[in-house]
Amino acid sequence: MSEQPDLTTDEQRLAATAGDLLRQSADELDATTRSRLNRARRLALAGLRPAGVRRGWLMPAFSSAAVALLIVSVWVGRGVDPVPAPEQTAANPLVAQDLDVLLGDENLEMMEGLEFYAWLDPALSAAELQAELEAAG
Amino acid sequence: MLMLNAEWALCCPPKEGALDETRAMDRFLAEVERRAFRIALVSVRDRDEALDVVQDAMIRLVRTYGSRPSEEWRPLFFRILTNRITDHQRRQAVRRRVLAWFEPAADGEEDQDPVANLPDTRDLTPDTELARGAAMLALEAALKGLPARQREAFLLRSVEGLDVADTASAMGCTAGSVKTHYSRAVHALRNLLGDHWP
Repeated sequence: MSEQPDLTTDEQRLAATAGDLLRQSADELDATTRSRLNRARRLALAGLRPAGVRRGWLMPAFSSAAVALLIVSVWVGRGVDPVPAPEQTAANPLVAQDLDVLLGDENLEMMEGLEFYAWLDPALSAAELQAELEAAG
Repeated sequence: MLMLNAEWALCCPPKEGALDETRAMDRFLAEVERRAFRIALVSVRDRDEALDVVQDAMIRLVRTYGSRPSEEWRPLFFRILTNRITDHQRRQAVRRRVLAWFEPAADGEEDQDPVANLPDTRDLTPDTELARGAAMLALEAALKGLPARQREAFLLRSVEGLDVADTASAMGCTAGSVKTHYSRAVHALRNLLGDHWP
């Protein structure tokens, strides 16, 4: 230890001998301790990701975000009726009428009669039209 | 998610420089780990605790300073190790103080003098005295009797072979303080071990 001029030769020898002894005992550690040190080193090195992969942390993050978005979309989409309900106002008054008919407690025979008359009405008009054509013709 | 990570690792293999960095760190840690353990063991006096201290120091070096130039690793590692040892000793001191309230020491154990625990080398024959095992035991006991800073300076310089500047960096003090601690440590060891050691 030339950096310590205050030490006598004997003290320098003592320091050197002590250092040699301790280094020697470190080199001769038992197998169990060496194995545990080796495991500790591996564990520590596992935290040292290579730079290429370390910079690529965004890719898994984006993948995770995409999967999460898909799951949320499917989940929210379950509550939405895929067939939109028809407008039941002035845009489509028949729907309201059908609903009245379905909810009403009128006689079913009368309902059938009404349907027959509804069919018959345009049929009569066509016959009248045919008669008028023949009269004109 | 594992698949995605695996695929990403396959499509983007680590660069050669990164592998070199990992290998260099592996080599460095493999080279210092045993001496680091020996230094920690002398200071904390428990194998499991010493292993934990070394492992903590390794993890901290890799995670925090792994990207620093490799020339800086040695003083950084031993600075972390020294800090970990100091933390451990503080925790032990607090634990002892707390336990002292609940578990009064048995008669005769209150004042444990490390120097008094040294093997009496005066009664040993020269042959036994020269035996390595005995010398080692005496040295360990003497090191336990040193103040912590003196012991740190001695171990870092004599065992790890750090120069004054790197030891100062590792201990977080000036070069002058390192010289003083080291000098006092060697004087104390000579007094504790006797003139005929080893």
